[in-house]
Amino acid sequence: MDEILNKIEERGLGLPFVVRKDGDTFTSKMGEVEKAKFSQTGTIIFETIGAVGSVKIDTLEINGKNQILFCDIADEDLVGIIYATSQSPILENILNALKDIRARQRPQVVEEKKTRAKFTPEFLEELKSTVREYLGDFTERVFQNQLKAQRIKVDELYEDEVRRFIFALGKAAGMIIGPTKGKDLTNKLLAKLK
Amino acid sequence: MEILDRIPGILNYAVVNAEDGSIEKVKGSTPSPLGDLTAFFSSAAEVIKNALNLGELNFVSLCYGANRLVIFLHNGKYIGIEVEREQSPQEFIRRVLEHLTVPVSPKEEKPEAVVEEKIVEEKVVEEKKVEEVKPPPMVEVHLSRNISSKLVQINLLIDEFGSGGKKAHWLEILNQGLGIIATDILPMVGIIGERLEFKQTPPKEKEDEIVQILRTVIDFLVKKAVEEMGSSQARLKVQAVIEKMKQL
Repeated sequence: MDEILNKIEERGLGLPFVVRKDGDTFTSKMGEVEKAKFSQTGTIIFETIGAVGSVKIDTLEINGKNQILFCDIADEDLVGIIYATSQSPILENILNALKDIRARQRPQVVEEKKTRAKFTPEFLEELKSTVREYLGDFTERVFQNQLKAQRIKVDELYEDEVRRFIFALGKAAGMIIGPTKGKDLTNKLLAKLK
Repeated sequence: MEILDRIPGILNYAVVNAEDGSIEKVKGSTPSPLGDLTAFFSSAAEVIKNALNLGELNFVSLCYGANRLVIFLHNGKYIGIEVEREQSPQEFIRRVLEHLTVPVSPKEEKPEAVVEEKIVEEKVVEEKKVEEVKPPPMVEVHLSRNISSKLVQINLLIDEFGSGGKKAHWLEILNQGLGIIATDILPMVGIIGERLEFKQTPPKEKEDEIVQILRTVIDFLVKKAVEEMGSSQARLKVQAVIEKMKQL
């Protein structure tokens, strides 16, 4: 991890850091003096996300007159980079650097995903037929809108994504059929996960 | 802030008092807690900006699902505008500020005022600035007959269902419907002055799709009317709308 962070720093792309939800913080050589501040920043971001609850935030940019903080946020950690505002023209390189850091973590993530159950696109059809019992003609539009709103990739369906989709679907359905029936639908869809 | 309703591309927005963090307004059809997001993240950004020496805040941008929330400070308020994820925050801030910035009339400028009075006056001037903001020039919007007819039908249904002082309630229902059914056209439409309107000319190639979406919104409104007032009363009101449309 340190190696890739140092490389990014050496390429003049700003100060990179990684903060895990449990507080563990990694940064480049020059970032070491700011490590405590990076850790504090990570804590503030995770707590703020926790406070708003149901929204899955994946990127955050705090754009200041002097410097910009850009963060790629995952469930268990965030990858951040601080760069001078004047460096905005090379933003693409900076974002690629963030991807490099994420890629370095990927083997672990892939390993984790392998152990999680993957759902087939047919499973979505199964969910849709249950939704149809509740929403009738509204089904197709509500279903597609929620897939898009939750950025669900049908060929990469893991339990977390499906669960998030089901809750969003239940909430949207509740606006048409009322919250009680919406909750009933959510429970029926969740039962299919087991 | 009603000006924000008219700017194409803005899906929803929230206004938060920068001094005490209170949510002053949330408008639109979003299921996301936009007021909380704006309040919490503006406050978090202030702390982070100071800790990391980022300098004065230009804006905060956060992405979730298919949307992006852009938060920026204007006249003592944090404005949070929700746009599509692919959109540029800077471009939207520029558009909003273009509409919100209105020159103060010479009458309101009193350079000889003593410092304390000046502070009070500046506050008044600031408030007046916000109050006196003129609506942006309406962009000429061209709608096909099919789209226009569906739009008229929706607005007449809202008038009819909302008669007897229930209009705000029905506008809220319309907002909910737009948020779950009409997400594809949300950047182009908005409730302006209690009417659903297009903020820009919809692309011709999407006409059929848009008509279909508006038709589903109509079905949604009628379903809600049946639930709320019973089928016979709802049918009478729908009939009244059909009669009105024949006369147009």
